[in-house]
Amino acid sequence: MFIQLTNVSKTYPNGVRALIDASLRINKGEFVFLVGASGAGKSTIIKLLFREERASRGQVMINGKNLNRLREGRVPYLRRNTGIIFQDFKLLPTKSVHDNVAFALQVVGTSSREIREKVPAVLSLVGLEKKAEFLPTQLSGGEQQRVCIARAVVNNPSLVLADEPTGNLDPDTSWDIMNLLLDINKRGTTIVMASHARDIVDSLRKRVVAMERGRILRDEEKGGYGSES
Amino acid sequence: MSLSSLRYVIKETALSLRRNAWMSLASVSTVAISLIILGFALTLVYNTNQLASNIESNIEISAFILRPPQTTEQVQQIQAQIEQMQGVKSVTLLSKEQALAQFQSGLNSDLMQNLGGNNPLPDKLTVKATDAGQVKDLAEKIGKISGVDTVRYGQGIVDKIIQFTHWMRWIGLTLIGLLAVASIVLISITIRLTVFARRKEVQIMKFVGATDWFIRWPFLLEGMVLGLCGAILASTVVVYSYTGLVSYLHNNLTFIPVIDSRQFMLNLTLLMLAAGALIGSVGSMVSLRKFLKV
Ligand SMILES: Nc1ncnc2c1ncn2[C@@H]1O[C@H](COP(=O)(O)OP(=O)(O)O)[C@@H](O)[C@H]1O
Ligand SMILES: [Mg+2]
Repeated sequence: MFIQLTNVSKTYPNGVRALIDASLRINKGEFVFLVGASGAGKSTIIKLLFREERASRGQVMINGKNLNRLREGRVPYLRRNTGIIFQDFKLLPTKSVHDNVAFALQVVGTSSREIREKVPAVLSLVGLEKKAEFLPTQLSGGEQQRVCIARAVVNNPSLVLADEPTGNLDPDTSWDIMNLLLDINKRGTTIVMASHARDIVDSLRKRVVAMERGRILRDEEKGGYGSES
Repeated sequence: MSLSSLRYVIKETALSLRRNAWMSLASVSTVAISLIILGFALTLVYNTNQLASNIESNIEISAFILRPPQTTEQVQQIQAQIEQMQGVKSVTLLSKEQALAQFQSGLNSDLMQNLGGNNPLPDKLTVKATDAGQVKDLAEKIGKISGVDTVRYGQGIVDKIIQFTHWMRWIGLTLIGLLAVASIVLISITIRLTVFARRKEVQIMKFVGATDWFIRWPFLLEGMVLGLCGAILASTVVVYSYTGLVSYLHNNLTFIPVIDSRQFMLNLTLLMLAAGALIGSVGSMVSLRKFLKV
């Protein structure tokens, strides 16, 4: 068992019930889509998994650790083992591609030698070795998302969380990004991805967890976006 | 912390000091002003304290005894009695004969002739106390001894000086306290600007697993640098003007006993630097607690 949510509810301080009695099990190495309309609670699950939010009720376990009981001081170490990818990339505009990725290593105390080895390696993994010295503003959306992915996986996390990573990209570029994520998944990394992209979810036939208004409606191996499959 | 992280912390600190140049300047000046006042208040308090203790250590009680009715033996008995009192350091006797001799040497002998050979002067016992605080009590006790005619001591001056230092201390402390609060507020505003300018970086640092302390360091360092810059400015001003004042007093008003020691200046400088660093880090912490939710 790698990730397990047991009867998890999340009520935000303003009273919105974003998650209601959700239970979910994800094994090591799986690729899981979270699908559902806007406001269904997909991002909330992702936030619970890297402890940006705490469950109001129920248990969130990762690798046998109960995230509700995790001490504040241990949260950074949980996150070093979890890569995270956003729809809006969240790159630092004044830093080069190389420095954006190196930043993630610097701030967790990685040595300069290791940084010099790891950053070029991960940049060639995402196909950006030639643009290492570019600024984010000089890149296309797809390229920016590749930088975000490089930053997320440079520390070799065993889990990658992606919140609508193709939400801002055109279809062709979305497929490039999907192929990159599938490659990363093939190397053994568990991936949980929230998505709106119906055609991608339908054609990949991965595990699909469908949500609606905070509840998990459906959980299928080799599932599709709609409920008819 | 690895070398690359250290380089990161230092670079970020330097960057944001430049980014908030005006706020940084305002913070540094406020810290400097409050520490200048602290420095001058301290030199004043220490100097008046020393002045007070100088006077206190010189303070004497004079007890006058008339003969007759007392005899020479009785005067010696009274002297012995006072010597046995607690808190008495020494008792010296100036007999009426000695007093007269001293008196005569300063006057012409015609006047003495006119006194008709009578010696109107009393015997005088000069009492030194071990502790200035006891002078008043001691004087009262001595006054009660039968045969002692009058007692005199300089309590009034010492009381005034002690009162003065007391007030100085309170006024100084209040002023320093108010200015310290103002400095802390200004530094915390400066740091808040930095936190705001770097909110994106902070968010990413949190997501990739930087520890809270790692995130706080550059901000804390920035506050400390601001505080220390203010302190360096202030101690330069205080040390230079104080040494200037001391050498002026030495040349022109030699009777004023000012503290003139390297050790005192060094301690004062160290204290001001420490105070500056403290003000800076408190200012940052105030801001971080409020605005850096990590
Ligand atoms: N920080 C928050 N505070 C209050 N309400 C929130 C917060 N985050 C999300 N919500 C609400 O919770 C519900 C689920 O949101 P979310 O998990 O972001 O959905 P999704 O990612 O599926 O669009 C929505 O109604 C949203 O408005
Ligand atoms: Mg969302």
